Amino acid sequence: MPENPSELRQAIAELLPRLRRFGRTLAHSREDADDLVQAAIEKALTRTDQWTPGTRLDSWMFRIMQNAWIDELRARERRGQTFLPEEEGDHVGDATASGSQLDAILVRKAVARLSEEHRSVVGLVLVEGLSYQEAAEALGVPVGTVTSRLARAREALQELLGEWP
Amino acid sequence: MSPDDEITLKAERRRMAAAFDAVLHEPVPDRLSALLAQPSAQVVDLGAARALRRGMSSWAAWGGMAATLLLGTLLGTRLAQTGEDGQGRLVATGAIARALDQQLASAPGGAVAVQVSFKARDGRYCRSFSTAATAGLACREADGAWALQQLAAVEAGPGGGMRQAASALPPAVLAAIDARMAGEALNAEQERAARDAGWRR
Repeated sequence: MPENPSELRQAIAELLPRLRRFGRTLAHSREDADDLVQAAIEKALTRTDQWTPGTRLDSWMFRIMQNAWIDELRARERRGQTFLPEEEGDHVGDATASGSQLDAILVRKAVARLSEEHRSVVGLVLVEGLSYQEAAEALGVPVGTVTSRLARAREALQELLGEWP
Repeated sequence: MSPDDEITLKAERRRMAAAFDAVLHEPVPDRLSALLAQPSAQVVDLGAARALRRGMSSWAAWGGMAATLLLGTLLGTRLAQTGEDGQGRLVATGAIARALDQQLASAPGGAVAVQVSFKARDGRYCRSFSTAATAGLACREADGAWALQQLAAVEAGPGGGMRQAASALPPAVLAAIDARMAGEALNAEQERAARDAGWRR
C-alpha cells in the first residue's frame, strides 16, 4: 500500500503495462495510447494528495486516463485533427497469422468501432476486469449506467463480430 | 449477477484478454518509465552522487529503522521518538553529526550543508541540514547528541546537487524550524560563539 509520493510513483510504475493496455482499448494506435498514459501520469503526479490510501490505485489511474481521453477527444474535435490509424500491419494479410491472432485483430477492430461510452465500459469491465461498481466509480457514473452501457456494447459486439462472446 | 451471466462475463473477458494482452508483454517505453523514476535516480552530477553516498553511510549507521526510512518512506515523516541509540532517539551520526558539530551556516562547504542555526523555545540549539538526498532538523541534547526532529527527502532537479539542496529546504523541515524557533536565527557571530562553546545552552 503506497503511503507517500515516492511509494506512489513506484506503485504507478508497476501499473504501467495495464495502463498501456487500457490506453490501447481507448485509443487504438500505440502512439495515441502511450501519449494518453503519459498525460495521465503527469496529471496524477500533480495531484497525488487526491488519491485516498486504501482505495484502488488502478481505478484512480483509469479514471484520470478516461478524463484525459475525453479532454483529448474534445481538443482534437476543436482542432479538426484526425486520429492516427490503427496499426494492424503486423498481422493483417499475414498468411501465417493463426486463428487466434486473427480473432484478436477482429475483436480489436470491433472494439475500435464502438462508441466512446461503450468502449470505456468494455475496457474497464471486460479488459481490465473491474467490477461494475469499480467501473462506475472510475467513470463517475451510476452503476446502472455501466450495466446498461455494457448491455448495449455487447449487442454491438454481437453485430460486429457475428458471435459474442 | 446470475450464474449464466458470470459464465458469459468470463468468456467475454477471455476473448478480450486474447485481443488486448499482447501490450502487457511489450517493453514499457522509456518516456513513460522515466516519468516515474525516483528522485534519487535524478542525481546527475558526480559531486551530488558522492554527497549522496556519504549521506547514505551516515543514515545507515542508524540501523534498520533508519535504513527503511531511507528507502523512500521518509517524505514528510514526523520521526517517532523511537530510535537506535539506546535512549529512544534518532540521532545524527557520521558526516552529518560532524557537520552539525563544526560547520558554520555562514561558511558552507562539504557534503553536508547547514542552512540555519537557532535557539529553540526549550533552550536547545537546533540546526537544519541537507545532503543531496535528504534534509532535516536536529537539536542538540544535553549529552551532545544531535536528536533528529524532522527528516524529508530532497528532490534534486537537473543540475541540482548541493547548491539547490541548500537553498530549498522541504516544507516539512521549514515547518519544523518554524515550530521550534524562539526569536531569530543566529547571525554569523552568534553561531561561531555557540559552536566554540560546544553548543551548550
